[in-house]
Amino acid sequence: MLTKSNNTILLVEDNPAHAEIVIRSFQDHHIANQIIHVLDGEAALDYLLHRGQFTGVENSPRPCVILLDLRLPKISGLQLLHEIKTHETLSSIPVVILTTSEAERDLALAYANHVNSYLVKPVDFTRFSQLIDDLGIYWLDWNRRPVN
Amino acid sequence: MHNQETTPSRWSGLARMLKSKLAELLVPSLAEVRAWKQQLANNILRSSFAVAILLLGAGAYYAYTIDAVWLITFYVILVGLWILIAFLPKISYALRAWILLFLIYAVAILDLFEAGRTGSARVFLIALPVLSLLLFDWRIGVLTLGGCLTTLAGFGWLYSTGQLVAALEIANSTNPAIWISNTLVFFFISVLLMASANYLIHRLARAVLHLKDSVKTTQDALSLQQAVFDATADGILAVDHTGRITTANRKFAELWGIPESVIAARNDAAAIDSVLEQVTDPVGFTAKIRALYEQPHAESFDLLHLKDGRVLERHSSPQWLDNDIIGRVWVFRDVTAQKQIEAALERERILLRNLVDTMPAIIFAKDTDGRKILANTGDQDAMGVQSEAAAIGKTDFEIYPPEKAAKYAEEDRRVLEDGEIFETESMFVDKHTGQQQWVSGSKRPLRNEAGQIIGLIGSFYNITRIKQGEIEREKLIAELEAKNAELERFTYTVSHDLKSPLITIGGFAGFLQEDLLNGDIVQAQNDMARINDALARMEQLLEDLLELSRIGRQMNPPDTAAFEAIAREAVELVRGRITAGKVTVEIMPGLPAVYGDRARLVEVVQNLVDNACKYMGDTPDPRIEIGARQTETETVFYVRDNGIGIEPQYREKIFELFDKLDPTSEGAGVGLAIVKRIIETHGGRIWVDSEGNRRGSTFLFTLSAAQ
Repeated sequence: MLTKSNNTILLVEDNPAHAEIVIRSFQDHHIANQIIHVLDGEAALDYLLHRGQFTGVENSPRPCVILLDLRLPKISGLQLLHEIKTHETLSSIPVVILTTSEAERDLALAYANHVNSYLVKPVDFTRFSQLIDDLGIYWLDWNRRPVN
Repeated sequence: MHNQETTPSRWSGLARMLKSKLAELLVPSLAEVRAWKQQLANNILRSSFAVAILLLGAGAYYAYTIDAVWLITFYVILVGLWILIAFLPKISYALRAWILLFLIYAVAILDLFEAGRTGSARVFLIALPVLSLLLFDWRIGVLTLGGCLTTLAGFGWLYSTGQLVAALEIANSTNPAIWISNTLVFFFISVLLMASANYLIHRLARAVLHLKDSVKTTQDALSLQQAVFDATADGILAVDHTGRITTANRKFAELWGIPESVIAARNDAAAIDSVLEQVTDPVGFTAKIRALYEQPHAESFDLLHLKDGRVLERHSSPQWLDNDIIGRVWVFRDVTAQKQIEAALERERILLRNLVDTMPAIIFAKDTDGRKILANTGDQDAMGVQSEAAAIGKTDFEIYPPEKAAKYAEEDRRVLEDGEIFETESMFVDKHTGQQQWVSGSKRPLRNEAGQIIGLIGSFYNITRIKQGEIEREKLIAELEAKNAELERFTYTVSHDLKSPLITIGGFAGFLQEDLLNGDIVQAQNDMARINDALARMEQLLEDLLELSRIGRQMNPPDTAAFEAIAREAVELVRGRITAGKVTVEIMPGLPAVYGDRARLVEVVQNLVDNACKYMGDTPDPRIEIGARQTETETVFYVRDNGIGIEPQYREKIFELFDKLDPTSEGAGVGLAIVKRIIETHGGRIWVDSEGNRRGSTFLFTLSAAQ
């Protein structure tokens, strides 16, 4: 479908199986041209701040949206969200929580930390697939964001 | 009262009194006697005026017949004096009386000279003392009588010796002068008798008048007395010295329910029966009355309880007349209402006192000087005294140490002077038991009816149990909150982590369908493998959860075991991994014995050693050290490794359920959660010490010191 210059998605997901489902769904819908998958919050910050294995801007382009799981080893999803949303340059990146948790507390904390969207992973594959499709269209197609 | 044979009148007392009053009235005063005498003398003097004129004529005629001019002169002087006495009342009574007596005497002497022994002079001389008695008194009367008898004797001797011859004896005895003279003498005597009668009648009339007056006065007094007697609120009974009823008032009859007719008839037997029927203790009552009759002077007081519930107050005292006891007066007063009020007050006082004493509190009252006026048993215990009496009237300074007493006195001052309510809640350490005690209470002003502060009332409660309960409750609440939080975390974790494989299965089942439609067998096999992994993981999760939930619920009986043996057993269980990782395990010799569930404690060490092996990294000389060190209060066991270590920020997180720092490492992230749970069920704590960055970690834990 659409191929924009920078349609990079950063997927922060510790469960490899879930990551594969997300990535394959995106591929099925031909949405993302690049999905960066990291396993934990630290790696995500390394990517966003171009450090560690992601040193250099060309090596780690700024994502147009971050898909974030809440339950992560070391730094939790909410902690990472807080870091991003309080960071001077990263705060403008839309962050979408994609998690298994429907806990009210998680929802409240996520919104309190200025999350842009909160999605719960459906168990049903068709719905999961539909969610990824809609998510892609919304954030990569419909959604407008500043160029710089 | 008992003897009906003797018959003293009910009014005998009154009669005696009347008699004495009359006697007083019938004895005239000296002034009265003088007044009457003067009146009599005047009457006599005036009556004698007519006699004087006749005497003048008779005397003059007689003098003429015998040619005695000197005698005529004498008569004239005599009559002149007589008139003088009769018509000049200014002359004093005594002088006039004396002149009168002298004149009569003179006439008698003259008559003796004239008529000799046969004359009327004898009558004069006998009448003269009587007259002097009337005019003066008995002394003058006796004197006069003496004088007259001497005169008569003198003349008698003169005539019998013949030295004197009466003029009339010489003359004719039928001389009319003699007749006139004698007539005059009798007339004079009749005047004297009239005057005497006049005096006696007058005196009697006066006496009767006085008597009438005094009887009326006495009747008035008696009627007033009777009215008062009947109107008084007390029942009064008077009896004479023999015990018979003298009088009784209406109230007495009313109190004892005795008909007034019985009283009026002075029916002692009926009255006494009626009384004895009503008192609760007739035998004692009778005995007391008998005793009193044997001691007439005694005054007595008693309380009589009647069968109908009334209470009578009984006074008894002797009745005096002058210096004699003439009877006894009994006064009865109905004090039932008063006694009932007294009894009610007493009951209330006892009730309140019991309330104050049985209250599980320290209750006391002090006056404005800070002296105890009430101390209940709680306060007595607090002061360390055996009785209330030992504390009454004392200040705190006489009971407590000076600092304490000064503190209390300052509190008292605020209440007594400022009228404020002092409230306090304080903690102190009991000197004897050394335990903390909490006391809560207040001091409040004690005011009288006018609202003035007359003291204070203190009430203090030992609230140690309540306080301990509060502390215990707060502790339990904190524990419960911690448990709740843990449960919430657990639920959250479980829901999240159990759902995770379901999503995997759902997702790959979808892909599998696509693969089969596309005929992509290779991809299908891959998807199936993912599904199987997720199923295996799910099974593992469920097993771990069950294991975790069993801890604390299913315990083996606790026992004492050497920790060294536990460590060795645990190490043997992970021998495979130790050997594979070429890890050296050192167990400190002589580790202290511990008390608890041995199998679970083995599990703790096993998990820790297993974890140490797992996260050893590429350390060149991997080592695990199991040991213990003694702190001041407890024994701290440890499992130390020189593996990859744990970053400081993850030291808490690693003990949480399903939390793994390395998502790729094997296991579900339950091991340390289980370890923590076991340690906590043993009353201990676990924590990790690590500087991270490949410097190794030390897991330290304690077990309950008491065990």
